Amino acid sequence: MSPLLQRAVTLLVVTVALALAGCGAQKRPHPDDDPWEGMNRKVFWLNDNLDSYGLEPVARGWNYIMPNVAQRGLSNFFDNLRLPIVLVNDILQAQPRLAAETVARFQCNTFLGGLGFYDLASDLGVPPHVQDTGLTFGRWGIEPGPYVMLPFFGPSNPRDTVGFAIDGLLAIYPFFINIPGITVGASAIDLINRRSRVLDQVNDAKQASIDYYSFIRNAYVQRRWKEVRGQAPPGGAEEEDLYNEENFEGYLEEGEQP
Amino acid sequence: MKRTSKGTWRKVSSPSTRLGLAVGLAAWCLSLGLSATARAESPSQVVDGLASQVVVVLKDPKLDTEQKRQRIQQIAYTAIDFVTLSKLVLARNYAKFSPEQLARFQDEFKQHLSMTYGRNVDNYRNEKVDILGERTETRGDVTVQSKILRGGGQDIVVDYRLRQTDGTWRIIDVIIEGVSLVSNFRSQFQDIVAQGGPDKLLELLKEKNASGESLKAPGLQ
Repeated sequence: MSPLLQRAVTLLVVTVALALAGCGAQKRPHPDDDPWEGMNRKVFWLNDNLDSYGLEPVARGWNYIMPNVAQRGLSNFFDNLRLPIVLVNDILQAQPRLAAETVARFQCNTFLGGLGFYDLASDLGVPPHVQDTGLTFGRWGIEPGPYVMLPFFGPSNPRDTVGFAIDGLLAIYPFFINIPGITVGASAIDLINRRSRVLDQVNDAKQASIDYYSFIRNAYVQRRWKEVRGQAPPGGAEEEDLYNEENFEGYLEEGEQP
Repeated sequence: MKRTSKGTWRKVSSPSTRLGLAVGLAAWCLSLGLSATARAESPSQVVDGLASQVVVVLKDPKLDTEQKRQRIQQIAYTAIDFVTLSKLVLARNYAKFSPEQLARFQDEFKQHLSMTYGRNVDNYRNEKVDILGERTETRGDVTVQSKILRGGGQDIVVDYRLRQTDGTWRIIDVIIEGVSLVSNFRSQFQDIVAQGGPDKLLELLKEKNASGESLKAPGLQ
């Protein structure tokens, strides 16, 4: 089998298996649910150190030498290359309007926006939308499973990890530019450039948190839930629990003293 | 399955500063003839008022960083219900705090919030706040939906949840791009209090605030 066919078959098998697995309504995942916390914290510590002593200093240097407009241009360029990931998932979610927007954005930005360096489509009123395979699974009703901290890649869960791997199979450069040197080089530039654009935000997050690990876990779980649910208002018993202060008055666990 | 939490959406006109002013004026006129309660602001007006007051401060070229920070702090303190917020954040650990510890917690938490969110007062780039509408929640709370419009960058969706106490609507949670602040802080504080008790949390907050003070100091000279 050719590598291309192989990839397509893998994709099909995984997709069908997951579609069959995901039946029934989803529960809102609890942001404190973390059965693998011990391991996750160790991986988190590793990632944080890799970032602090590896990626962040490089990104800081990059931020220093590269003008703002070039950084934005590069991230537009790489976003534009996400076309197949976004388009396939628009289709898998049966969203013809989004799919049409994706194609229009790609054509507009590639041909009129200088190979995607300028996001002209946004100026014309077609902004990008968040899209990945993990989201498709979520919208099909597949539950995320327990929170997991992936080495190098950061916060995830079993559902989004599979989605992330499929995103990798769908990515544009392995198909069209199958030269390892270029693929790796481009990915490295993409990574450094992306990191260089959130230097302040990451610092703020660290400053704003008392427990940075829990901060990230909670934010990831809430954010993914919101992305899966789209514009639908949140709700349910968990929401009730979050805002019902009477639940807490006089609440003591067994054997505890105030 | 019945979803009781599904609220109704009410449309609020977009360039709402003018609308807010008009409604405010109308309410003021009414209040001359009627009782004082007629002046009570709606949840959207509270959020809109907060946003426009903050923007005025951020835009003011005569104020330095520290003055801006203090003004915004004052504006935020009147709009936010810290008593309820503290309760919601501490959740099932709330009862473990003595009144004295609770008072200290509110102080430190306030300071922590104003420091982390007041750090960016000099990064204002003409962002605008647009009120999109409001939704009635269970328990009579109201969520005001808004969007921070950033020229060039992606817009940020911010929801404010308000609760009415003594006739006044005040903010009890801010939800940024789907991430609730109450939920986020609750996650962080839960383990700390469970393992080290209220004093451990107070100690960590104090430490954090102290390190933040030294962080912001160089910028003030």
